[in-house]
Amino acid sequence: MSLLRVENLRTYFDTRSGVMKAVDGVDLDVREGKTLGVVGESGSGKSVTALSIMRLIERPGRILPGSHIYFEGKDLAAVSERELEAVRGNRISMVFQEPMTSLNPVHTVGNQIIEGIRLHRRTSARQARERAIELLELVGIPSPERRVDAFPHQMSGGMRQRVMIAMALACEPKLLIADEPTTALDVTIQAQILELLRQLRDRLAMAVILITHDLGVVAEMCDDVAVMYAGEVVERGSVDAIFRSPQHPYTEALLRSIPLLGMTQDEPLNVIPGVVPSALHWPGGCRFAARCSYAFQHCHRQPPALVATRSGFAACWLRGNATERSQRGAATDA
Amino acid sequence: MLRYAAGRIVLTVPVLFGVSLMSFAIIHLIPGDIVSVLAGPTVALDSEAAQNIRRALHLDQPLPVQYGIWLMGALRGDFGNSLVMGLPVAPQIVSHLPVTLVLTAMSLLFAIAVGLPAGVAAAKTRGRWPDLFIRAVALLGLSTPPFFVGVAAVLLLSLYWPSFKILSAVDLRHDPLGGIRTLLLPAFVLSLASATTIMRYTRAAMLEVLTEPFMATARAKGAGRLRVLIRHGLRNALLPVVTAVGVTAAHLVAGAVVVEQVFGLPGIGQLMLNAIYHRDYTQVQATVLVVTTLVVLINIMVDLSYYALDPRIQQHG
Ligand SMILES: Nc1ncnc2c1ncn2[C@@H]1O[C@H](COP(=O)(O)OP(=O)(O)OP(=O)(O)O)[C@@H](O)[C@H]1O
Ligand code: SF4
Ligand SMILES: [Mg+2]
Repeated sequence: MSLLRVENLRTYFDTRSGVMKAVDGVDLDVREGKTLGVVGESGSGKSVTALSIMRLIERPGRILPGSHIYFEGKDLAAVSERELEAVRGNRISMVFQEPMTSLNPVHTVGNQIIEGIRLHRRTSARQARERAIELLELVGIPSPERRVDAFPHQMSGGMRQRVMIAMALACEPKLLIADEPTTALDVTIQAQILELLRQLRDRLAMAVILITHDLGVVAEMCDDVAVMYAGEVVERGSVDAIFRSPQHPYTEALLRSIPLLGMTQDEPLNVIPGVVPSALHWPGGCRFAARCSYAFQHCHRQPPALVATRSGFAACWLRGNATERSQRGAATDA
Repeated sequence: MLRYAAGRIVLTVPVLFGVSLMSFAIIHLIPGDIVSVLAGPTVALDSEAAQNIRRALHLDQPLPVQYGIWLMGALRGDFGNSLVMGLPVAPQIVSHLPVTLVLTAMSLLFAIAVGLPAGVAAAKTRGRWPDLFIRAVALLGLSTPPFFVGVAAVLLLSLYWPSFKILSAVDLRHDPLGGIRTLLLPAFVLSLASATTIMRYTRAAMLEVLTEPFMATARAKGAGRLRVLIRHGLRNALLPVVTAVGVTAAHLVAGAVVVEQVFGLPGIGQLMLNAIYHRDYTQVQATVLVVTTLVVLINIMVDLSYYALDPRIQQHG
């Protein structure tokens, strides 16, 4: 059963230098209670996708007509702002990358959690406060009765991220979107936060979209994975299948770049030669062609569509349209 | 809080000391011998009459002693006698101060009531017509001096709305409501430049806050646009805005002098200008001291409101 289905999501930014096609036809599927990992290089449109799902895109960004975000029987791309406000923080919550700046410095963490509760639940201030303390305890903050009155600047990055998670869980959402929730934290804290997310997910039976750079985290935590490249999903399917047999050359390259156990963090992960093209003018054919070691002539001419493969879906001329390939006769063996 | 407040107040002691020194020095900075001004040009400076005047004003003493005598008096609320009228200066100040205080407070209120929302609206609509419109009006407000607006308002109103009593007497003690009504127009005129300043600071601060990640967090919680804008945005932008209020309050007090003159209001400004006109030096000293002290006090209040607004100061304070 899918909880969230994103179809043909396109989010563009009108900038001075032109239209940035940050997200350009993304399809996603999140199953009830399951975790979807979203991976891809910097600038591939992961965050914009996440924000678009909650329709938090601000000027000069816009979600194009024809985009669909089906969630609990509604198309979030089409509902009113008021309806969305009832969904945000209630049915779908979000945890951001930057715990240092994602909390409001002038309000206590307790009041920020309480706000999240009282926006969606009719409870007294007292009950909400008790619930906030409960939530702080749930995310593993020591002496929550005291911490509830602390200001964000009195907490460490890891603690703040726990507060962010507590806030996101305030109304027990069906879907939690975590956009690189550990990137800004120390390595040891990263592991703790991920473990916390995993526990809470199981305990509350939430679905999670986990955006990350780290395929190791995907392997460990996710059921499904979507690989993004240049504003598109180039491959998606179950983690097991895709890790065993990636169908898209980009996924394959990413998997090859996973650091082996024992390698230090400092070693460069990005071993794929070349750079991501600019969102201002994507190349005409397959957007990965310039960096793909399998690329053949046709790749540069026509964009491949996402088609079913034995591991899920992939957008590559090597899969699917075989006749096209043999006609060109330039394919390398995959 | 109390410790922080006490600290700020202690810090203002040297400032007030400087202010008193300056107010005192004014008398000695003005060209010409005071005695010749007082006694008239025909009286010789070494005559008996001139010497008497010197003695009465302690001018025969060395400067530090003169300052000491004056300061001790001022601390007791005794600013000496008016040189022109011979009456004590202090009661004059007491009777003129309320008008200036109320005028300044009302202007500040107007300035905030207009400048704050305008700044928020401008930031929110950055680069689009509401922003452009607000900034155009603000530019006009800033480049038009209050005396011009004041005179223009008086002229236009007396031409087209004669029943509107512009220059009626103000007696705050016996008719506070009537007094406030009379002060509405002057306060509005006086508030224009301040409203502009507050609008600009608010706009700049809001532009910065609007891009903060915690604003997205608040939206993601399901808070409505207005709520996010006020409770999360403005609440954070308020700190620089309070600074603007402090700066502009000083300008307001200075502007009050001009506006009181234009509208014929019996405030400290009028008292000061009269005193300068008549070379009534004790009166000048006293009014300058009161006005500058007022500005210093406003700045203490601004400082204290920082404390109330920013939890990050509280930790250190
Ligand atoms: N407010 C904005 N205005 C203009 N362009 C934007 C805006 N937000 C994002 N973009 C553009 O959209 C593209 C995708 O950005 P996004 O933040 O989604 O990448 P990402 O995959 O999350 O990268 P990272 O891994 O670095 O977080 C980028 O090219 C970025 O420049
Ligand atoms: S379509 Fe061509 S260029 Fe694109 S990934 Fe497949 S083989 Fe490489
Ligand atoms: Mg991102």
